[in-house]
Amino acid sequence: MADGGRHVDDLSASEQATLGARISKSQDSSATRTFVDELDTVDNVRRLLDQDQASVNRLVDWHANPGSYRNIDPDLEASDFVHVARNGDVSETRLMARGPDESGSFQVRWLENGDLDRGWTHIEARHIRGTQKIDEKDATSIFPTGKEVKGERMPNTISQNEVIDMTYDAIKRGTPTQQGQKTRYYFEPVDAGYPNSGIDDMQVLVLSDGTIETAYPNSGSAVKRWVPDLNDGQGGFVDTT
Amino acid sequence: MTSPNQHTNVKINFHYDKQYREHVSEGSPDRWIDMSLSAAGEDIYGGSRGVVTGSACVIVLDLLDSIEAIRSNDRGIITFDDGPSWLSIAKYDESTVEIAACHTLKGAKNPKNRLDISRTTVVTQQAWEEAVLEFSRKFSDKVTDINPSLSNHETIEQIREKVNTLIRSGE
Repeated sequence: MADGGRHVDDLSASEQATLGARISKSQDSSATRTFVDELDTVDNVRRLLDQDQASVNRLVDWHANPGSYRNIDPDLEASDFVHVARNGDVSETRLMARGPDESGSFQVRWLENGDLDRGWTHIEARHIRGTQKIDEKDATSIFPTGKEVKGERMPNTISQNEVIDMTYDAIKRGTPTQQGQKTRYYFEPVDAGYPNSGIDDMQVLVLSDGTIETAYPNSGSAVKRWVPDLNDGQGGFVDTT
Repeated sequence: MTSPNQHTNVKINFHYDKQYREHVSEGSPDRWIDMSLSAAGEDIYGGSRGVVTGSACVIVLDLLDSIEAIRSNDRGIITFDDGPSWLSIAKYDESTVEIAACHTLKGAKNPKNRLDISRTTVVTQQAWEEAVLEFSRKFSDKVTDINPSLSNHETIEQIREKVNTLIRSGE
């Protein structure tokens, strides 16, 4: 049985045993106990128990060391971490942040590796490497990370890690608007901490559960846009300023 | 730029492919979908040009908002997040609206900021409104045909209510 803890009495005997095992096997049992104590409901404790030990260790580590990990928001609370673990894949998470929705209420948002339709895999394929259906659809804009796209070297003003940094800052400091169940964050990197990025504005789209679906640059001196209709359908790049 | 043509000259279509249908069957109607649009006989998206892709429900709500915007002499902007691309809708004169396919958000908001390759077409306001309302109604019907349990989905209900409100307020 897990000793102490404000939620322990609300757990069944078997749940208490599982919790005790999680704590005793964790990398830092004291930090894990603190994490459990800070969870707001016993349901969140149960959700934590659904995670494997590696995920629990990761969540507790992030929570116990605020500010130590790039793009893991130090403002996150224990229940935010459990929300992400319940709705996403902690082992794939590249950023996690609390950002306001349109009403001003703060929600947890996170970026996973995802797939070609959403998450980092989508962002990298479509807006960094330009390999995702770039000729099959209307135009797209490319982050200036110096990659060669359609035979042309993109401007090299930011790194791929800085794309994630900007996505994090868009959630933290951008302007949210909501349409249906999705939230879009508008952010101006050049004027908000990335003066040499050549990205005037960008947007981040978040699904209703908080997962980041995509992020893309809108325009700027270093933002190129691939337009398939140009040059008699051969396609071509245009500047966006 | 083209001149206003007959009032029934705007066609908007979603391409309900297998992947999108599967998402709807699983209860998620607001996933990526391809859209084509023609106006005044010109392909704006799709047809002879590439289709444009965005979140289905977001596109429909943006389109409905564009009706509210032009009725208030404001500008409506439809965002296609899997471009990105933007469609800007604004009053051209008393009875017509300008449809502009834009390559930057700044260009969608202000014609002075548009890139040279942006395309514009003018159609009657009546044609735009009728096409959007019909398209939106068909969208909610299609989604609930695929997955009847989505008839109570928050966003589908929102779309249905907006359509009814816009029809009533336009009469």
